[in-house]
Amino acid sequence: MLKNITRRSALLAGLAMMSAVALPAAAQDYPSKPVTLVVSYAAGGGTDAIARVFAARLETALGGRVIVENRPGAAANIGTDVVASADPDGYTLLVGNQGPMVVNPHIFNLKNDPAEALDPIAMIADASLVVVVGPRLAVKTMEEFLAKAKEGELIYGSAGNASASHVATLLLGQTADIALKHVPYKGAGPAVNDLVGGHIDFMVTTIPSVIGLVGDGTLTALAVTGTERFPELPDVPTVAEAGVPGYSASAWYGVLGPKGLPEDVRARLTAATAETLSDPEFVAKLRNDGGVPSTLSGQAFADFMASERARWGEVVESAGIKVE
Amino acid sequence: MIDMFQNLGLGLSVALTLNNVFFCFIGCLIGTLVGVLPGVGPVATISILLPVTLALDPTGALIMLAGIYYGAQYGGSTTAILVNIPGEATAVVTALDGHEMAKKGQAGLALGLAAIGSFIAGTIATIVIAAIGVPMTRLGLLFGPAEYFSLMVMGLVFAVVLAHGSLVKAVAMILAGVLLSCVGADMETGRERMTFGLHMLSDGIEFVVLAMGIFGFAEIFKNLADPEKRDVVRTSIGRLLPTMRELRENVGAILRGTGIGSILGVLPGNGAILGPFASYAMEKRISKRPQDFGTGVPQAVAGPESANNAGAQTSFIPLLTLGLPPNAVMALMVGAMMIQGIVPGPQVIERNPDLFWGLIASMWIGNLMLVIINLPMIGLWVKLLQVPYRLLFPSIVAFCCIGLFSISNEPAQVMLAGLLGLVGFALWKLRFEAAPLALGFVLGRLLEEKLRQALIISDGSMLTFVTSPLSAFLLAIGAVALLIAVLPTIRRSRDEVFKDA
Amino acid sequence: MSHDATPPRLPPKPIIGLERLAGVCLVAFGLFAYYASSELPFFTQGGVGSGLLPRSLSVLVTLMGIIQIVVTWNEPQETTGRWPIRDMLPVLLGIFLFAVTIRGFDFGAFKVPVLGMAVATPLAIFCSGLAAKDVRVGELAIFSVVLSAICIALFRYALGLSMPVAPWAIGY
Repeated sequence: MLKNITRRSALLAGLAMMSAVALPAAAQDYPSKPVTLVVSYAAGGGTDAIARVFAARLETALGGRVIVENRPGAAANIGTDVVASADPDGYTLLVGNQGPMVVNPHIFNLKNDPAEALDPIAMIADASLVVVVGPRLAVKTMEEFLAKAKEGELIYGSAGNASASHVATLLLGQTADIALKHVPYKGAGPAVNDLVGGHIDFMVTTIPSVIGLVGDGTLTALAVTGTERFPELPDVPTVAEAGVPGYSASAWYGVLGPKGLPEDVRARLTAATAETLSDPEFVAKLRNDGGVPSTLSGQAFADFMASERARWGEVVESAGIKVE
Repeated sequence: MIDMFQNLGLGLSVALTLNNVFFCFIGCLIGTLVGVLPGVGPVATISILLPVTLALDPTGALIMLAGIYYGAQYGGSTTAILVNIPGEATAVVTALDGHEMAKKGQAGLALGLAAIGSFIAGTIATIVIAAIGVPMTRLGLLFGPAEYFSLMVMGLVFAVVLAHGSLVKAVAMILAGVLLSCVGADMETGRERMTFGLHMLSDGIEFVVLAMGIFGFAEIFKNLADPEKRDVVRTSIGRLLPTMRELRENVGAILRGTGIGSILGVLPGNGAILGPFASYAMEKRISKRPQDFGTGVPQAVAGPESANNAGAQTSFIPLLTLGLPPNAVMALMVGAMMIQGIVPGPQVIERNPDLFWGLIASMWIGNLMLVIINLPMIGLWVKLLQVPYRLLFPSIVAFCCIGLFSISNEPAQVMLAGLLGLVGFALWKLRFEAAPLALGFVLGRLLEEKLRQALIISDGSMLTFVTSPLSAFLLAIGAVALLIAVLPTIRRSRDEVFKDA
Repeated sequence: MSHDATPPRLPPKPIIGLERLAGVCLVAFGLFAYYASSELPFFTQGGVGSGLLPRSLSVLVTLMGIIQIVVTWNEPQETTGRWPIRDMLPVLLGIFLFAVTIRGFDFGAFKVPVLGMAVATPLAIFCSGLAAKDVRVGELAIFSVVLSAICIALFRYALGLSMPVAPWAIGY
């Protein structure tokens, strides 16, 4: 702790001297001051954890300090606004996920449309979700699950209204043409608790939140929602393989900046992100947390976001989710 | 039984390595610090430290993070007792009589009882986790939305018992608290409620903002309005540590609090917050002088503090045995375990016995350390009250402002707390109590969430609350407690009517 | 700071009375909350609407207010006493100044730049400290600078919270 303070104060003194003679920042010196990585959620959530581990590694790749700043509020739309209205100098970046980036534009009247106000730099990770059932609905396969669902409305829990877990289940209901009843919770934790306790039938949730309970047999994993099987759960098929062709859903995270980043700054950031994502230690941590590192950057990431946005738009629209 | 001691032995052998003792110490120290500082909670601290812990081995990292958690619980009561700022919902109860004791010059006694009570509670809770942790997990699973709703109703009834003034006013404050908890986006539809288009209200009013306003800032306003009272606190300090006799008088409260807290700690979704005031309600119930509660009764500090610490400890049970996080800090612990490559869940006990038992044993060591760190600190804390008030209150303002801003890096939260300070002052002037308001607020969130979840599951049938035996039982307890609380008032007012006539 | 020197006066006659005023405040709060939640649906097809709890609670709070007024109507009433708003004003102003300077604030007509902890903290301490009747300005000024330095070291560096310190001088 103490060592840290001295190191930081030395750094502080150094920075103070640097900025005293600072000229208008040229991209070669980027970053010449700490980079702020905005997280649209309060400290302590999943996106926050990914951002902090990512920031720690990005510091090495960029050769400058990266500070995580939590700006929660208004269903994660405040973080979007903060970055959208920041100077496009590369010193204010956003860690965005599918919620505020592609689902919220369909649900809220946003001040800043992420597709127009933000510049996608690179995707960090893509995390598949998993369909799990508890003791209340004792089925062992996706086939049995679908048969049961045709018999009567099943009750599912979600991590919250419009969360990845919610919209992924909506899509499942729509693709497989089954009627489902939604019980929103505040976060995955309490929902999984009620699933284990037999108060709800099933959930579509992040793999880390249930993998221990699946390994033990307390819960049964029917299928993963991604396009590929998850290495830790080799026997669990994808939803598409298990009888709902065409289905895929995942939770993803990416880095974005305000619109109009200078080309060289953006190149620097893209390279630094790529370097971070090729660090085996960081990748191992991502995988432990259920994520797969991504290779999408720049235009490819923008295209991916556009297709995700169109897709989820249809889902939330036909489910009638809209907030005035 | 022999197994348990073998396991605890294994745990101690892990927890007592030099490295792990060091991490435990660092965790407790940081935890105490962030607990004492208003507004900066263990959740923010642990998430900031998360990347740092990745460099450590998993057991050491988790021991340190756990230390931060219970250290913060502990530090929070210090601030509640000394300056009447409950940083967490659980400390509201401690502040009730704890701060009154401090005003009477018994700050040392209050802090000492809190420390010793917490240590006893921590020791017992550690044994509880080791001995019956796995079967206790089942208890948490029995609580579905319907049962949870009934539990919250019972909790609100306890909040009535907590009040010591007018019953009508206490009930009004609880209802107002629940009403305030409704502000913010609706959990089912996302629709904003009573936010007046203000962004800062869209996620609801933060508990810390409410608490710092109606307790922290309001207390400063009160003291500025009434400077003579303030001086009394400064002139008489009193003894620093409780005597054997005082300990004996409080040991019952400590043990009862530990029992209540241990059970409620297992409940999912912050069930542990009920512990301290269930304990307070119980102590008031069995006390020979219930009318003194609220004016600085030692049992009203010792009991709830023990319940608080025992609950903090047993809330690790669902995390350790099922990998289910009952609160935000535990969710972070799950994250920390995952990133370290440990799959939280039922298998941890078999696959990582070192980690499992080491963590449990470290809790006891951590509690010992907290006592060692904090008993000598009591003198220092009490000295703090001797700082001239003209310098003390601007410092409190500064710490509160920084803490408030740090919650979401939002200046509007600081202003909101300032306004709530005025509200708190007005409440005091009108002889309303702030504690029932705060408790109504905390329980209100869960109350509505669980009510709606239960009714979705039951297709809108209210019968779900009585068909579940557990739920019906909890409602019955609530009804009885309400009758006991209300009857004397009704009888008294009837007597008065007859007297007048 | 000695005891109040003013001789005891007869208590002024209350206009409305403390306990009745308390009831009136509850009624006002209840009605306001009812108005604020009046557009929310009571029930939805599926179950409880977002307005059920807020609206029924507003009614209950209003009701408690009425009960409070009724049961205390004939009780001897006191006044609420002095409202020392003037004594509290510096504290409120200190809190306000902290809020507008820490990360800047847009008033529409003019903008406060991001001044950071290095400005906001001493401002808050100094300004609120002026509320004390026994204030010593010099002592308070030194104290506010010293304590601010401690706060910055503690919150920003030891605890690692991401708050602007002095962006105008050191970049963040």
